[in-house]
Amino acid sequence: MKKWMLLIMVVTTVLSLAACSSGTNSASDAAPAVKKVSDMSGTVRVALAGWQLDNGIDPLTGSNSIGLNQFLNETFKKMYPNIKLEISQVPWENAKAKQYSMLLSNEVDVMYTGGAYATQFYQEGLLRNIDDLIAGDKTFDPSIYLDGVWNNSYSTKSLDKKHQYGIPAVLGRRMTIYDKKLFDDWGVAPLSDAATPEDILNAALKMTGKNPKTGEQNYGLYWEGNSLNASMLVGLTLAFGAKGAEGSLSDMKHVKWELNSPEMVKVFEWVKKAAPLAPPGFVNGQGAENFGLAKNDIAIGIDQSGGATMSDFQSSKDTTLLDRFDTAMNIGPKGESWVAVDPFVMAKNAKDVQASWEVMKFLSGYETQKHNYQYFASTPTLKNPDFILPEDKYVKEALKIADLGHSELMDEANPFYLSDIVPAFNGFASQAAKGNAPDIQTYLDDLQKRAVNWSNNLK
Amino acid sequence: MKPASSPAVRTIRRKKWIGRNDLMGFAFVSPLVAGILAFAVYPMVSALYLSFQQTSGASLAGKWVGLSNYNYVFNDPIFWKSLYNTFYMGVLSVVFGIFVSFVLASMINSLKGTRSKNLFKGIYFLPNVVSAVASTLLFSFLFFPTNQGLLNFVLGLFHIPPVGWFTDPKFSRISIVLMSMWGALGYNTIIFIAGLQSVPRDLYEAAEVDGANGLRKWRHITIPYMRPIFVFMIVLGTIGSMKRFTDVWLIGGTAGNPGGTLLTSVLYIYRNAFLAGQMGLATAASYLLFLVILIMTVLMLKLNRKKDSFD
Repeated sequence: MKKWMLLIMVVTTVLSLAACSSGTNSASDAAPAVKKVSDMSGTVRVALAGWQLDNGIDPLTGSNSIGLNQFLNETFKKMYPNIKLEISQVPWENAKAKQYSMLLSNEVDVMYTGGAYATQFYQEGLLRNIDDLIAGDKTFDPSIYLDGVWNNSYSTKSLDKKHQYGIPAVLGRRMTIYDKKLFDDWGVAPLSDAATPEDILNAALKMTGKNPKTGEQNYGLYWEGNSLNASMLVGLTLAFGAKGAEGSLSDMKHVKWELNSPEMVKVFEWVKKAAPLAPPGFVNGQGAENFGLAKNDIAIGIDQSGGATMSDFQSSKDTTLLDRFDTAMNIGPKGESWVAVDPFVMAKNAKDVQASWEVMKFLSGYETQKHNYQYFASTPTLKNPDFILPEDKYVKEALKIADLGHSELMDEANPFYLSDIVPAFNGFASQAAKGNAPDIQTYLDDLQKRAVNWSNNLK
Repeated sequence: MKPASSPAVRTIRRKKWIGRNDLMGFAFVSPLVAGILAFAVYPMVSALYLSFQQTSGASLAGKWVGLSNYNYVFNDPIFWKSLYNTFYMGVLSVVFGIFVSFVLASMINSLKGTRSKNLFKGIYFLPNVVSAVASTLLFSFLFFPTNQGLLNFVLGLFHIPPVGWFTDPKFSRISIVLMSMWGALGYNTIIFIAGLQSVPRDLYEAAEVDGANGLRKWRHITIPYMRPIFVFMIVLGTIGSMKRFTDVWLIGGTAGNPGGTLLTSVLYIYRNAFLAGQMGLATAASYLLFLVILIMTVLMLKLNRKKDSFD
């Protein structure tokens, strides 16, 4: 009896180990060919917002992913054996506060952060210009990055565009994606490549309710109703010509607020009609767990990335979902919206500037961008990302949208936008979803008054 | 009559005051005192100074603006709304939480066997080891607003339409109260059990002799004897609930969705400090919140003292 028990335990252990072991993505598959580059020595403290350090498994598809630690062991540490990296991972949810603290206490040399956060850190004198480092390094070639991103993004360049302080590493990927199957089920014509907010609303109105073919509850559209930066609002303000404010990010005291303009009223009227068409959980960022997958019940997703669909394709090699979930640019006038550019930046008081520069270059360079795309579906910032899968229409669409990108006062680089406008927008949408939307003009008059008070308090 | 002390006596007293043992004692506590001064007193004083300054971004150097930040916060309806939400959720969490855990503790304490007592202690203490983030995620699925959520699925079995636990402004704050009660239940119950075990047995025996039943013993002996513990739990619970942030932030984002019902005072402070970069304004709001908590705590302790003297 005891032998039988022992045998069962051994078999179970062997099976468990076999199940836990990596499938196809072995370390050697992922490692690019590298050789020693430099004997430079030093210690560099790196803070990364949202990166995965350890190897893991995609929760949706089960495919293996190789984390940054293994990637660095196989690349950077062979290229620069004497540079010691001290890496800390910072969750996105609270990245700004944590990275602020790290910069203030001189606890970090190189950082990957949100583009708008980088702008604010730079404005406050916490980051270092890298003009001298670029000029003194013949191996660094800025022309590999997308021109629009390298030259125009406030996430990497000073507001007067005279100084470079960051290197673009990851591009935001936000676009309208719609489910062709649900459109077919409801007999609604597909969206055009640059669908306007009105087109989206009209289509969504027709597709909210019981699906005529499956009998399941369908929702017309979805956006993340508790989003920290309400990126959809940026697209809407562009679409309806609502400036929201005039002035400069470098002089918030004298910004002229226009939050209660007739154009802004149109933005909120759109939201009032759209909110009841979303799944109820959208006010807490829930309800779109299956968007992009076979069980989907939402017709149109705004500010989506296509990540779930691509993950499914990469694990199954089945193009059914790729054909089903199509793209329609974003909701700005030409299909544009806010394009996030997340950079690598260097702290003003970096301890070892040269070693930090090598780390910064590497982590925003071709090999790392390739790795991040391959395992984490990050959108590259390169002109020629030859590693993009031919089937990946979502990255191609994101690059088209990025070409149209421009900076506005109504986005997360604006501190009042983050602290008050976004909460006001999200709060309004949550009330509208329940049919209790407040009077729009009064609501916006109040927001305008708050904005003026806020700026006055800065003087 | 107090005798006049001679110089010799004064020398002895002085010697006693700075005796060798005292010096040793001071030497031993000095690291702790230094820690308190550096990490508690200095930040508090520094934050108070900051609250009178107009700052930009993370920079802590600003210009002196007197009471301007306090004036801004005081006249900001969103600050008062956040304080109302904090009170609403805080008071209900503390009142219901303490009531439920006291009843549970009394029931566990009345069990005969040690094993069954330990089993129930373990079961009820379990939520206490779950982090706020994990319990928020758990409840987000439990309270999912359609029939896919466990609670709404159960309601559906009784033909009750799905409730928007975290999505409907009518239910959102109560749902947070339920969630925080679940999280605090174990800790509160363990403290109450410890208190219940300190009630002298002879009081119960005397009451039994007088013919008191279980409920009357609970009403007239247990509850009065436990009053200091109730005060301790209420004060601690109130301070804790006034600092609510993580769960509401994860559920409702910066807006405190739905409809700003989950916007708490600390979330308001966070928005101003780390999103708007207005550290001076945020510290002014922190000090106002500190004053509110201080007044509430002092009031509660005073009320308890009055009751003591009446007794």
